[in-house]
Parts: sequence; C-alpha cells; structure tokens
Amino acid sequence: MAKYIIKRILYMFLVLFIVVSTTFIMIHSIPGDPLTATVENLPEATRANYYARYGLDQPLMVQLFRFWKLFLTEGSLGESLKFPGRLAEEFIVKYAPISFQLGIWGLVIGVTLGMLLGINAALHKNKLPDYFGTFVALLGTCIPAFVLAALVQYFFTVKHKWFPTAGWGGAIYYVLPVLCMTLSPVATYCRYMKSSVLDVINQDYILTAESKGLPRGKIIWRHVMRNTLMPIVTMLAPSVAGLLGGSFIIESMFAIPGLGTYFVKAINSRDYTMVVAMNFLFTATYVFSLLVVDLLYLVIDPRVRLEVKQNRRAVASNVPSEN
Amino acid sequence: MSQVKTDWINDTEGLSPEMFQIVGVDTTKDRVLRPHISYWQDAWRRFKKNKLAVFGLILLVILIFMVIFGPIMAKHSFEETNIAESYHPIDGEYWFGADKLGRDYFARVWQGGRVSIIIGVTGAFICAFVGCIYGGIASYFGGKIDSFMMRIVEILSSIPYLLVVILLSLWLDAKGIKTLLIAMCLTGWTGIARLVRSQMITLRQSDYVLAAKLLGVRPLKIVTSHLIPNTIGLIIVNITFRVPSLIFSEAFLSFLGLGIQSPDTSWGALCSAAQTVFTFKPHLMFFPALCIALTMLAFTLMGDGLRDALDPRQRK
Repeated sequence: MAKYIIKRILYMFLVLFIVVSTTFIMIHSIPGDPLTATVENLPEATRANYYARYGLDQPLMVQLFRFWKLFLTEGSLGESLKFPGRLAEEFIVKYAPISFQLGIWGLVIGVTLGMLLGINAALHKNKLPDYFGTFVALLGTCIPAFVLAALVQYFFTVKHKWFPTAGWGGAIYYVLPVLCMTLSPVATYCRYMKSSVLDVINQDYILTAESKGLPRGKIIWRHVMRNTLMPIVTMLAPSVAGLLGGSFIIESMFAIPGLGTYFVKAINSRDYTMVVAMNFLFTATYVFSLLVVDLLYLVIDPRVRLEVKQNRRAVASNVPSEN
Repeated sequence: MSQVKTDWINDTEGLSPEMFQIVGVDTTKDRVLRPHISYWQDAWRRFKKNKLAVFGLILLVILIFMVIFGPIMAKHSFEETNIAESYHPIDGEYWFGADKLGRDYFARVWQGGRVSIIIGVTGAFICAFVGCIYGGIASYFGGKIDSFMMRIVEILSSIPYLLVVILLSLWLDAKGIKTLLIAMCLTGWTGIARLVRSQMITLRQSDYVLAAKLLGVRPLKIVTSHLIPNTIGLIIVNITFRVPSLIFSEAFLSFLGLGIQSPDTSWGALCSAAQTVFTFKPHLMFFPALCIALTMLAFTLMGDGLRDALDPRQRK
C-alpha cells in the first residue's frame, strides 16, 4: 500500500515536470516577445542589456534549466516581465486565494445540490422530482456561464438593485458569481448521480437488502450511496480544474481581482514568467486533485484496495475527460 | 472386458423400419413471428419511440437549415457595414436588428452559427477518428506498447485544456476556425482513445469472440463483425456529447477574444460583443445565446436518446 502511494506521488511530480516544461518551451517559441514594445526605441546596447537581465538572450534549454534551478533552490517562479521588480509568486499569493475561494464555493454548493437533486430524481423516477431534476440539468447544460452572468447581472443589479453589480468586498459580492458558477456542476452531477443511482438500485444486492427487511434509509445510505460515489469521485478532479478555468469569465464579468483576469492579461502581453507561473499553479492543482481522487478510491472501494495489494493497479487511474 | 461391436451398418438387431418413419413436423411451431430486424433498424425504432430525442433531432435539422440558408435569406450580407443604420431596431428589413456598425444581425447570427457548428461537428469527428485509431492500436498490441501509449494519454489529459488552446492560438499566431480546431483537437481525442481501448479489451476477452475464434473465423472478420459494431454505438454517443462541449469551448474562447475575429463571427463572439451593450440592446445578446442554448439542447437530447437506442444490452 505505502509503495503504491509513493509511486503515485512520484508519478504526480513527473507529470507536473513534463507539463510545466512543455508550457515553458511552448510559450517561449511564440513569435514575438514581451520586450519588443519596451525596447523599440532604445539603443542597441541598452536593448541587449534588457534581454540579458531577463535571461532571454540564452538558448531555450538554458532558460528552462535556470527556471527549474531557481524554483528548486529558492522556490521562486521568476520576475514578471511586465511589472519589473515584482515576482510571479507575489501575484499568485495575492490573487489565488480569491479564485480558489470562489471555485471551492461554487464546487461545494454545486456538487451537493446536484447530488441531492440526482438522488431524489432517481428515487422518484417519472415523478415530479425526476422532471425537476431533468429540467435543471438541461438548463445547466444549455446555458453558457457568460450568458447566465449577463442575465443575473441585469435582473439582480440593474433592474432590482439587490446585489452589487461587480467588484469585490464582503459576503454580498460572492452571491452572484457563485450562483453563476454552481449551475454547471449542479447539472453535471445531477445527471451522473441519477444514472448512477438508477444503475445501483436495480442490482441484486439491493433486492436482497430489501427482502431481508432493512429500512429504506439504511439501504440508501449503506448500499446505494457507497456504490454510486465511485463515478462521482472520479469526476471531481476534472471538476476542480474546470471550475478554476471556468472562473476566468465569471471573474472578468464581475470584475473580481482573481487569477483568471491576470492570466488572460499575462497571455495577451506575452508575460512569459506570469503565464508559466500560473500554468504551474493550475497544473499542480489538477494533478494534485487527481492524486487525492486516487487515494479516495482506496478509502471508498475495497476492490481497489485489493488490486493495490495484489499489485495489479496502474499508477494513474482513468479519469473521464469531461470538459 | 468384452469386445465392442463396431459393425454398425449390418447389426440391426432389435430395430425395425417403423422406428424410422417421419412422425410429422409441426411447421407452425418454430415459425419466426416477428420479421428480422437489424441492429440499426432496431436502434432507429427505439430512437423514434423517445419523444425528447426526436424533438432534439428536429430542432437540430431546423438549426442546420437556418445556418445554411439564413445568411442567404437575409437582406444584407453579414459583412456589409452601414454606420447610418447603427443599432437599427428589429423591423421588416433587419429581422434581428443591426449591430453597432449597422451590420444585419440576422445574417450575422446564422453566419456565426456556421462557424460554431462546423467547429463542433468537425472537431468531434477528428477527435473520434484519432481516438479510435490510437485506442485501437493500443488495445491491439497490448502489453508494454499499450501501457506506454496510455501514459502519454494520461499526461496529455493532465494539461489544463484551456491553456493548450490559448497557447496554441498564440503559437500559430492566427485566430480562426483552423487554429481553434487544431487547438481543441490536440487534447480532445484522449477521452475517446480511452473509451475505445477499454471497450476493445473487454470485448476481446468476451465469450462470443472466443467462440468465433474457435470456429475459425478470420481475425479481420472478427474485427468487422464483432468488435466494431459493439464499439460504434459508444463512439457515436460520445461524438454527440462532444459536439456541444466543443461549441461551448469555442464560445468561451471567442468570448475571451481568443477565438474568431471580426468581420467573421461566431455565436460566442456575438455574445461577447453584445455584452457591453446588454442593458440597452438585450436582443443582441438574446439571439446568439438562444442559438447556443438550442444547439446544446438538441445535441444533449439526441445524445441521451442515442445512448439508450444504441446500447445493445437494452435490445429486446
């Protein structure tokens, strides 16, 4: 068991290394560079100095090596090219908590609501809760987040001045952005939960449990829930990554000073350091959530524990690619 | 131990010709009552029974019709600017009004739909094609090659998808359909590759494939008559669900300004442009948003119907 976990963690670092290096190389091979505009009218020597300062005069592989060296020895991600003197990790420490807070609120509320709706729909198939669940799920899959955000802003802030339109401050600023971010997970998890529960309640062991007289609540909690959690847990990792990505639009529409806004800005201004740093953070979040999911399997599913014991389990699990 | 008699032909002791008379066959008993239905006929029959799915199909046909003929039906070209008609209200000449530069919004919405739907459908097919070949090869060779190929898939799908798209569109230094397609397909095929691989591996170990092998059926015949028909349903369903997700991604990227550039347009780009004037001209947001929503709805309903119809286990 311990061997598997260690292997799994090492694998996580390998993937992180490959992905971040690839991004580094990719962003540096984009035609045009961030300093062009700054150094345009400067004399040749000053220009060369500028490039040397950021190490951009070196071959790509040397730059990549320096990047990893700096990170491993000093834990730094480098200096921003657009904001001289400011380090990339300063931005991350300042703005990441806002994005993560929004994302986590959206995910927790969305997943909980979606699962409840889904279970309810499956247990009352072809009745009102089922139709309601299906309706919400369809709504969530059909309406893009930016349309919902525009509608919500119009009704709740322009027509009825119940909430602030945009900005960032107390709890009241959370309501609308979180609302917009919950809709998509509610829809996804409602759909999956419903089909998953329907699968399970038709199994023979549920019939057995019913026929031996177990109370309904106990059947649902001990047999149905435990078996339906597997596919749901599998989907959590891409959801975490998706919500962080999805918050870009919400952040820009509600003028929230989160990472998303800065990411788009950094890309448009070719701020290599910032792009690589933020991508580092996103990839790390994603890979880490994959690890957590894999470890959760060990807790939830006895079959997985057995596989690990018999050394039959691959290092990485299969995650459905749901965007 | 006594000698076993081997003279079967002449040893007729205890047998009489009467014992070999035909007693009569009940020809009505084994008659096939229902006509033979092929897999696709059966799937279509079950698809038709699902009212929501049929509604999705009809909706999609209407949308595709409008996307093809909409720009032709409009009174102005989608690129034709006319500053004098800026924000022209909805009337007989401008059916959906006009945008800031006085371009006919009706033509623009359907022209944008062309881009959105082309990206969605082509992208889904490219992903399915690459994924099938990759997954097929991996499962065919198995062993080390398989696990190596699957590691690549895992690493590719660990890259945040949005980032690939953004980086590539900058890298290729061109914003348009082609760039968006390449960028979105680059990591999009991994899901189907996994699906095909796991399905193929399960099928290869199934009893009827073993039976076919024992009966001496040629490998190619096994692939064409057992493996592919049992996988194609899954692939079709996956394509149906991938189309809306690609349309969504395109809308998202165009909304961020990384997608289709003016004068060309897409639903996402239209929504993005309309967002700034939403309070005063809500209809500019309403039409493209409605189109996105309806397309999503059509594909989702159809996908649900197809999933139920193409699942061979549900065949009765």
